[in-house]
Amino acid sequence: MTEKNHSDFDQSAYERPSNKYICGRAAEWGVPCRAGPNFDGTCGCVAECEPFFVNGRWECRRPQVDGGPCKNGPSPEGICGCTQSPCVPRRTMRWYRGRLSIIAAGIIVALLAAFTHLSNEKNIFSDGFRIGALDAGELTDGHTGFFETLECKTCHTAHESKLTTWLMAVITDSDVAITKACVNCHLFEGEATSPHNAVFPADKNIIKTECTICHNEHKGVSADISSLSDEQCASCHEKKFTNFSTGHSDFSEEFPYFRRTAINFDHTTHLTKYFQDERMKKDKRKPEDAPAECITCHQNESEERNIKPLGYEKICATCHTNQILKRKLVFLRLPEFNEPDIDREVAIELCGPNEDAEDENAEDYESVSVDEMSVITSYLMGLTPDDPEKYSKAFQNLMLGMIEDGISPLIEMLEENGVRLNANQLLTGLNPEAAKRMACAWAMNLEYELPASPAFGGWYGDLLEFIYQPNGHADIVIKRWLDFAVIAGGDNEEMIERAEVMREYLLSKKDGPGACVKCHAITRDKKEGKLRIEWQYHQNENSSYQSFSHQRHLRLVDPQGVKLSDPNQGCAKCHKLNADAAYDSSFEDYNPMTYSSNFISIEKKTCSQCHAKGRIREDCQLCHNYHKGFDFTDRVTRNKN
Amino acid sequence: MNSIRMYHILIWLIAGIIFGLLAIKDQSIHARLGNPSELTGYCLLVTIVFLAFFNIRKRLSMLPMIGKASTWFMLHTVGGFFVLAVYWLHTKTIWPTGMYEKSLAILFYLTVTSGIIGYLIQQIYPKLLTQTGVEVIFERIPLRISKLRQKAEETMLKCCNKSGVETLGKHYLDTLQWFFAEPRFTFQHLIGSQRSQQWIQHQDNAVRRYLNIDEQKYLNELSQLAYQKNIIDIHYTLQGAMKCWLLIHIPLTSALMLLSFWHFLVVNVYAL
Repeated sequence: MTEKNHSDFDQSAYERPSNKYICGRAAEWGVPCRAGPNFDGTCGCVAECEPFFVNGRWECRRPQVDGGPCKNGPSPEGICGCTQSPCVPRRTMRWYRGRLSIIAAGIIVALLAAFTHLSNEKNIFSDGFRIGALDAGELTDGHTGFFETLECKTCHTAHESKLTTWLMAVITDSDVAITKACVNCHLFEGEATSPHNAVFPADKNIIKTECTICHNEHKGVSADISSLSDEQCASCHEKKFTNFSTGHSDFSEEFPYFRRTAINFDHTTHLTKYFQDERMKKDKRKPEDAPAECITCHQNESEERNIKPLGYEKICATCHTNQILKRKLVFLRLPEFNEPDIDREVAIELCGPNEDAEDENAEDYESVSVDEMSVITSYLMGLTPDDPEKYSKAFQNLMLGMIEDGISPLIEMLEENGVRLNANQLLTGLNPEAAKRMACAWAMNLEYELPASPAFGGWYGDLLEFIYQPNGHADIVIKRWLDFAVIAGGDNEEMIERAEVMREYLLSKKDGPGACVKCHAITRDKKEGKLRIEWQYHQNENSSYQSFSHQRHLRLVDPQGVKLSDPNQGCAKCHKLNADAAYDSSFEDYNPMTYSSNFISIEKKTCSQCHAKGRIREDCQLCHNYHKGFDFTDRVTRNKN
Repeated sequence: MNSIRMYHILIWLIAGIIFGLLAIKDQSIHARLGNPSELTGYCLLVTIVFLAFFNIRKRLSMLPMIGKASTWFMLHTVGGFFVLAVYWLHTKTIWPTGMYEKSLAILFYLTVTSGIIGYLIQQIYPKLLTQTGVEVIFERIPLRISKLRQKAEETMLKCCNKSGVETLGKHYLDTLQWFFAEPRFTFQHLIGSQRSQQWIQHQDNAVRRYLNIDEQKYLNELSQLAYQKNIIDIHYTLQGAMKCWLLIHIPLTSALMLLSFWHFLVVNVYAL
């Protein structure tokens, strides 16, 4: 049945599967025409042969496969004598395949054009060439909101630009352009394209890091676009290791207590001495009782590295408020005068008669005060506090001014002496009438008798002193005076010396007003070199590359029934008291980095007990952040699209 | 193991090694905070273009030094699986996000799926064709069917003339005429069913009891022709299937090529 001679030219037809047409008779399962259709799709076999003119006559050329030359032969005009009606050739499968390919390509072009056009008001050939058929995937949740106004152009500057510009973007570096778009919203403490936003020595060969190196968008709303593998971290770091437990270097001796806290709170003294006092152990339910465990004072609700104290009112006030109230600020003190400079008649005219005043005609003047000036007045007036010859006239003029104008001379005095703070704030709550009465009494060489006891604190005159009594924690007047004290200086040695004396008085932990700096640390600014008091609790700024969640760790301990106060399994498992540390002395040199913590530094093995291979995660990003000081620009925080 | 089989194994092995090296390089670039998609993307594009050249090669068979079609087919097959693996390496996902990338993925998967189906057809059907014991040129099947039909009708007429009885003639008109008209039992042949042979046998048995010995000789001839026709039908169906799958594969490829080029352009404008 197999055609043995299926390829012989005189035994079989020549098949042309690449042609566009097949014989119409074959398509209907009849005997196909021998020659098949013409290229134009017409039947090629109306005549059975094409006669050939030779030796003056036409010869039949019907092939052997069709029976050889016919009996009738061609006509004298050379027309085949064996004709048949023409068939209707059909398209071949190859033709359909070609057409389908063209149609498929056409559909793609049409769809791209349609989506491009539909997404733009303008024509694609106009200046604004925006591609709508570019939905590369959803953005993460955080970025979606900033996409709505500028859409793709938020990050891709080439988008919606001229066609030529758009095409030119093929040869430009898109990563750089995208990074510029990133920093429109994202803010870092250092250079955005510097590794870890850090500053490196000039001789280090540091490669710029574009944002797209690590962060790739269009992976869905909930995609994690910030994770890095340990291998990726190791690609830059000189010391390479595969896991924390076996490869990570030991923690430094200070870890994690590199910088002292804003509050001088001696854990050792409190835990081993004060909280052990029998008076604090009577009834655990009372607020004045010693705290039961660490989280009595430290809040552990937020997943932060720093476990913030609950605040003064909740954890310190019970024991320390009375200490604050006792510490008074002596602003003015009536000093000893050799002789009165204020005219008695003028004083009586301004203040009114006073029965207790000495007789004007008395021969021997005896000053009611034998004290020195207050150190504050001494500094502000630029006078030696123990030399009546020098301060007598100036101070009595001040008293006269207070009699005439209340507190105005005091404000002028503050301002004249270079008080850069608002002088009014230093005297907040001072009643001008009270100041006048006190000055009147002093002008008459009398002690000022307070009409009523100052139960709620504030400004008041008492005998020979003009005093401010704080009304509790965070008293604004005391805070301003202490802020003034740390920045006070002078143009000459005398003034510098007086400023130092005043500073010693105001900032004295033992006697100073408010006793604020007993707890609030004084720190010298690294850049400007000036002192400042750390009024607010702040997180550890020097370890911004590190992260740690106290809450996650406490969640592991609590369900096991372990008390956090347990010395072995509670907080003390990591935070062990260091009784020998010179904690308090860490605050004396105003340098926050010279610090002896109350706690022994944490060692790597403490962490690697759990964070090890086959146990709990130990990848780099678990504890380390890549960026430094991550924040947002105004565009985000003020919703400036 | 013959040399052809060794040759095939060698090609698969080379493809596997290239993919392995590519995967290692991909991982290495990723670990160095580079963009491995760039490398795998260009690799993907080059491989797809190479695969598409197989269709062009068939049109350029007159050119020397272009290699055998069987070699090209082998490379096309290995390259097809290679490109699927590289695609996953490139996208790092089975199903991407975004309408545009999903469209590209759909086209890619459809093209690969049609290719795999075509590959299976090319592997299975030639063996089935060989089992028929005959070779038939696809383009000549209409002629072969026509000739068989002509012979069957001549046999049936001869029988009627000689016997003077119309039993076989009526039977032919009622049953076998339909069978000889064009290829039948297409679906059954596609799935390798023997239904057509049973049908012929049934038609033979149904009429044989009513025929005398002379007529039965003609029936034997007729049945023989029917079996021959059945084989031609098998060839038509299977050879047709081996050509028809390209009606899907090649148009999909052309659409994929176009969208891949668009992807190449867009990625270079927006991301590289």
